[in-house]
Amino acid sequence: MSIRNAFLSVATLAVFAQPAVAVQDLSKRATVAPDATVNVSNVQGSVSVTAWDRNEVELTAHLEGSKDELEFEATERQVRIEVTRPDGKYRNSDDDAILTLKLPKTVRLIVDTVSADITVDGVRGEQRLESVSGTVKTQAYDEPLSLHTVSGDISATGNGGKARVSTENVSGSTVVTGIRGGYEGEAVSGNISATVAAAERVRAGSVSGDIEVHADLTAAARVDIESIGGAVELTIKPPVNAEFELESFSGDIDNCFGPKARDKHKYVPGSELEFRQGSGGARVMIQTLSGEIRICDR
Amino acid sequence: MTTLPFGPRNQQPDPLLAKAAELPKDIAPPRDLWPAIAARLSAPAGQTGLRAFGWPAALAAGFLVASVSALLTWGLMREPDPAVDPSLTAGGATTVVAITPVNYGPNSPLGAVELAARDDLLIQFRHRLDDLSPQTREAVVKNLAIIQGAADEIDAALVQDPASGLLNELLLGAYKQELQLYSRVVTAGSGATRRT
Repeated sequence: MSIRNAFLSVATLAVFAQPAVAVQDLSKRATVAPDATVNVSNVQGSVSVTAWDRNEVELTAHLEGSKDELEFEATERQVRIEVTRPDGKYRNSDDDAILTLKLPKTVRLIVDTVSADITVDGVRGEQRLESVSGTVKTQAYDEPLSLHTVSGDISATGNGGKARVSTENVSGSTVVTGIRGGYEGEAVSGNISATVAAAERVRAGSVSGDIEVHADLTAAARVDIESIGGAVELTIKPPVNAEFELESFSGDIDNCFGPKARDKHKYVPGSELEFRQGSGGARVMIQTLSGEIRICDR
Repeated sequence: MTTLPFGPRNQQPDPLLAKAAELPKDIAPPRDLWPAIAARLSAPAGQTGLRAFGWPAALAAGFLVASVSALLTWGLMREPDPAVDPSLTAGGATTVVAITPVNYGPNSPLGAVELAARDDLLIQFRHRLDDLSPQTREAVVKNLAIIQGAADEIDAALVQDPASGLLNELLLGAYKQELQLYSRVVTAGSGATRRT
């Protein structure tokens, strides 16, 4: 089959919902490659994604806004789904667009919303999920996850796979559990809680939010945590073989193993603690301005 | 049913921004990305705005500025979206939300380059912020105040210990958080028609 014919044979769909109806219920379906890229954009409402065993994309849309338009384009490699409102009058609108999707398990998923919640279940491909004020909830397997919100909460549940998970949040809370290998998280006032098995690289930062990390460290693990006013709590699964560099300008340092922290200077507040536990290998660096630092192995 | 053409409507996520996000944050960026920063770092002591930063922090600051430049380029390259044009209000007047950027205080080692990069990003941020829901806008403003509070605390601490590497790194961290807050608002929801 020539490239031209192959191109022409690709399934293409594009649907505009009928604008005159008050509430619109629509469904669309397309056959795609297992590793296709699926882009979804929605402003208000929700995006719910469930993986299934078919190489098909199935969309069910419930549009409460009479002027909302649903655009659905699909090729074998690429699917684009977008809810738009031609007059741009989203502000102060109560009209939600509820998108429910079924996708092949290994697709690459990109979802971008403003105030729509994002829920993903069972997608094993790479995911990039972004919302301004909606919540983001998904699962981690082996492919990278990038989860961003401004004021919504983030939740990622791992299944022991080696997904590289990164989160960015301003004021919402972030909870990441059951992942393996690496995690990177940032927040301003939101709290971060992460549980990382076989940790190789953990990096977290906040301004005033608390950071809580549970990890078992590999021999070459590197943990960097920085908080200005938030407390930092690191729990390491024993046996602990790591070098620690902990420093706080005015906060306390508390550890349940190794030596105790000492005052940094005679006339300046703050404390620091550097020591090696076990055979070393892993490196842990934690810095705060006023937040308390706690490390423990239980 | 209408069939749409593939090309113009089939927009990919911005590759420039995606690349910028993938870059490591703790290594030196290519020098040609930030000649102004490099020149400042090479300048004799006292001539650079990053006066109290160590090399790692200065490099990280340079990287942040380079990232902001990439973000600004991305913003300029995007198709104009009348839905988010702050000048297109009912009365024709701009409704840009009043936002005060973080003031890092007299003891801050941040220089003019870093603050100028921040201010450029702030312009886009202001326009976008006006377009968010009141609740989200309130959360953003509240968190900017939190960063300001942190910057004030660090500045006060710098009075006691001006040479502290810890304080300078934390201040850089606050600056980074401020930039990230702006960029999150500027880029989030960009695939969707913004407004809520």
